[in-house]
Amino acid sequence: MELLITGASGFVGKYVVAAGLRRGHRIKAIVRPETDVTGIPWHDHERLELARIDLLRQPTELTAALTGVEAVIHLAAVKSGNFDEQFAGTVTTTQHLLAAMAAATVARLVAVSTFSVYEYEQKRAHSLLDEDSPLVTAERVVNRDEYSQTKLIQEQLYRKFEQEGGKVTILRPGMIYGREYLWHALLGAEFGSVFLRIGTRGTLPLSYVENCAEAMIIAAESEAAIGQTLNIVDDNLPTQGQYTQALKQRHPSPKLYYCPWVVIKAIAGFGWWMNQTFLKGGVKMPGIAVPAKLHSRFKPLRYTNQRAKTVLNWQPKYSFTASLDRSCGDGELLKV
Amino acid sequence: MMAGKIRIAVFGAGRWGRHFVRHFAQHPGAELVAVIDPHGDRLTTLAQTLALPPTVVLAEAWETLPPDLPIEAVVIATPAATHFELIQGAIAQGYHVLAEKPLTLDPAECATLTQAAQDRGVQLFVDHTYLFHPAIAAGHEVIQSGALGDFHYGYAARTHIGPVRGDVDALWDLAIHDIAIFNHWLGMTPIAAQAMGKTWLQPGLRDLVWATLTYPQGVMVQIHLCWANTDKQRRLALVGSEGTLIFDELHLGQPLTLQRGQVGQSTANFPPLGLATEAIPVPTGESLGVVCDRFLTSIHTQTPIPAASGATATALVRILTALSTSLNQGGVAVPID
Repeated sequence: MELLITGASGFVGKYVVAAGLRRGHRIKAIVRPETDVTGIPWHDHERLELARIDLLRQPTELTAALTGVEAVIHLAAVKSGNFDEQFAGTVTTTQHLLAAMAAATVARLVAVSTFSVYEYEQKRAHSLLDEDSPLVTAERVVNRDEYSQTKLIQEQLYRKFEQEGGKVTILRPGMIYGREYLWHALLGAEFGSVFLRIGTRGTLPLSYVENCAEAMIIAAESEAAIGQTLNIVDDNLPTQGQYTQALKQRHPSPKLYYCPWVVIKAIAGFGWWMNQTFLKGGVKMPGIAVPAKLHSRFKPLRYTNQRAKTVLNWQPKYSFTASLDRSCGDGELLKV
Repeated sequence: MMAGKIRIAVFGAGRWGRHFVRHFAQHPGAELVAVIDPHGDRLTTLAQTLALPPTVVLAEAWETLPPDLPIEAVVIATPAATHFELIQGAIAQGYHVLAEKPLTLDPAECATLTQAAQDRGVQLFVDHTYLFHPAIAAGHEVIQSGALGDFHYGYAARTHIGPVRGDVDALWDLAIHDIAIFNHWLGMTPIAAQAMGKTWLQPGLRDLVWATLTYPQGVMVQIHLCWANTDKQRRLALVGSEGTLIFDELHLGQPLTLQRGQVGQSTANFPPLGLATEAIPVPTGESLGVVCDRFLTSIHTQTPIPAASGATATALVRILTALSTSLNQGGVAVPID
């Protein structure tokens, strides 16, 4: 197949391009005009075509790039900055992409969403989070971070594209981790050189980047995946404590401090109540002190990849131990 | 997509195979076209007992079936050692397969069959009966609601007096049920296996096995298996930080119970808190009937059923193989990939 991949030089995109090439596809990799890709081992692969397009500022060039493309895997998004910056980088760029796909009559889209669109605060601890779990509502998402807010709007764009004839698969990966991203946000919060670990027994909804990348390519290949929304996590997920311990054995750790989930939950709940009751919400609280944000990162829940495995006939290739070994080793992971 | 009745042949009319014959002979979505078993007298008796119509071909071997017999799916209920060859042949013919557990006795063979079915575009459905038991489904919902809290550990007892198998030991005969249930309820597969056992009846075939499985997140499970014990038990429990879920198959009328409660940790004497017993409602129904229904559904929709998939079957056989290795090495811990 000829696949167009946006965000191709990003953390996940690099692996998705590699997975696509390994499975024999021709790849059109969309990267920003200024991106230097010469350090990425696949940059000169014979089945790879680079397209240097700024999705925000050069929307018309996208239509030409879509010529001959059979499916699009849309990864590009902005994960930091204020709401306007993330809206521009995530929502507006998606609008541009979908308009270009319509103009180029490319219907097949694998849209990469996130677990951040689910409702967490009202969910019971230790219950199952799956594709049928409620999404955070428009009223409640304002208390979540900008990433959740913009990804939720982005999913609405995908639904509209689907109603207009698009053949859409929405993939919602859990926390994607890999060599470039090991001390991740579900373990705790970073304060300068100090890392405050939160919780130890909660299951982590992890997706090792190479496992996740392969699922994205298989989704693009799969007729059965059209119209589906699929959560992507690995098998046999570790707890926060197990992940940290296994990682510390293989990788230098920042200075760690620990706070139990029940303690920080109580502190955040009380602080939020004080702020709302006596200060009319006037104090801007740090992220982990806002219950809606805190619960979305640290509440202990259960996860399943059963639907993705069934629909995609996919099996995460690397176990947790193998994934960490690959991440912390010095083998070249992006060589095709 | 196929429509109408699925034409089915059942291989093996023994203890379990006859139940498949009974179900598919009466199933509105199936047409039983043949029953194959090397024991001719067994076939005759079964045909009389179930009043099978004369259109059902009774044969002592696959090769003696009429070559033009219209078969779309087969049930393999023969001894496990014969499964690989039979199932491989059936898949090659383009037949959908419902196989009795274990799929084979070798994980590599299981993987081969799974891939072959996928390549041929047929359903390979393995009868992990308990995963279709209404109580196991109800228990799964309880767990998914979060009622157990953190998983701590599990235990099960599957003991009775006979029947004693001559082809496999108590581990291979009995353990797969409890392992399948624990895997399903925990949503994980074990990473290490240990087993010890005793033999009284037949050299080389353990009559008693104590199996210990270590799951990710530190969850440990112990399973007691014996076919030479008059204390019949069919009891399985999963213990969490906020309660214990108990499946007692012999507790007729109330097989599934949630014992709520936890150990208080705010004071030094760890008082019990929130103790309550809740009988979990379980719909009535025979698991094998559900298995037959779901097999036919998977054929019509061309979609594998996760609980019966080749991947699930392969994982279970891999665990049994690791337990067997441990058993033969005096109970050492054997890692499972």
